[in-house]
Amino acid sequence: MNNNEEKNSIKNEILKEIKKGDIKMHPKIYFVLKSALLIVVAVLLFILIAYLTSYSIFYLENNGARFLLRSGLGGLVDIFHAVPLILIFLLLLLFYLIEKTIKKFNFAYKRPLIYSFLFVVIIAVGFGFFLHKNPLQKTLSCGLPQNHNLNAPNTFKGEIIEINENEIKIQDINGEIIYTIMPSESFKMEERELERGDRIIFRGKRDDKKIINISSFQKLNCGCEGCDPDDFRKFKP
Amino acid sequence: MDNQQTDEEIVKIVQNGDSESFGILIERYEEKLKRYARKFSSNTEDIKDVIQEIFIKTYSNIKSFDLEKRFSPWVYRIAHNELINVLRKRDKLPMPFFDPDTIFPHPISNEKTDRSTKDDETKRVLDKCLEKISPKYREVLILYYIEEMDYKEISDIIHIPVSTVGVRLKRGKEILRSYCSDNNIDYE
Repeated sequence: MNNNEEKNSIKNEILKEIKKGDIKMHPKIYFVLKSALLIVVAVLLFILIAYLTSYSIFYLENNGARFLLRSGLGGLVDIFHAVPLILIFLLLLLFYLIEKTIKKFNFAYKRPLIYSFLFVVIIAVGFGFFLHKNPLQKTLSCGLPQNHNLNAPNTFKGEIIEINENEIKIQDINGEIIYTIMPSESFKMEERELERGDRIIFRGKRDDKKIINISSFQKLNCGCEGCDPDDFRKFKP
Repeated sequence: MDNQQTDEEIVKIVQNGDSESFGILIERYEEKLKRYARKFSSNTEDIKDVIQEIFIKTYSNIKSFDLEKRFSPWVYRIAHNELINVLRKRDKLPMPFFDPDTIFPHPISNEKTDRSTKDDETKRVLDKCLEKISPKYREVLILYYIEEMDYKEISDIIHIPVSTVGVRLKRGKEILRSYCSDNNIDYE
């Protein structure tokens, strides 16, 4: 087949198929719907990211993130441990998907990817903070188990199972009973409104009798149970 | 049909239902697209299939073409996607999510202002050494030196920022220069 014949063959084959109706033009509405679908997917992904971000913030706060922030590097490690891995993977997957979706819009490729990525992250996280006080967050977050050990030195958490004057018996997540003492001179139990069943995170050193002298503590699940997450007390040594 | 009509005028006629006029667009672009495809594949059958697929997609999607824009980068965009698919299937190229060149901003190179005799030199060397350059840089070099497109058009075809086009051209030329010097090929 010479060059001209080959040229005509492609042209003729395509025109023949068009005439037969094997190749059809997509109508304009097809492209409008396609673009609309893309926008809907992007918006849904965005809302999902914002909601999961807000959910993560809520979850961390309820599990003593602010307390852990005061516990140095170990505390920071604990904050990362506190977020369920599935949540981190889900967020990463959603960021991947939204970036893929945004790249399909004509405006996205004209600027370096870092701009669209940062734009999505900042807006979604900002929106996440805005959603933070949403009552649905409570329902979702409060049901999640908190079953990891802490890495921060001299930091523990568990559920109060018994209170006797300034002595508190606490059961940690492994079921181990921890005996603790609150410094009586600066702590009045009734003011702290601690009671059996409360979950607390606390810091302190074990003495010779393996009793922990609590130096600071915070009630957990405040977002779920209505206490103030900022109600944090540090005792004077 | 007036052969002096612009591509965009012909597209408008096709959009309005005259599918015969699509033949003119095929005639105008078949050789150009074949030349472009040959830089990525030497298999004649592969090229014929790719070219057919490009025209089928062009026809199917022609109603999405914005008549305010130029037809040429649009059809090359379709060709780019088809060729990427062929390369991925044939060479099992990975599909990177992030290309480092496209993530961060780059200053725009001034090279685009000096299309000159230097370019003819690059074009000549490019034909000899094309296979030694990875497709990522090869494509930008082909579009700029052989298809003679500008940065903006290349950016619209490959869907990368204009500054990244400059970066890839610069790196592509460096690779070319280094290959030429290693193989005693006269370049600049």
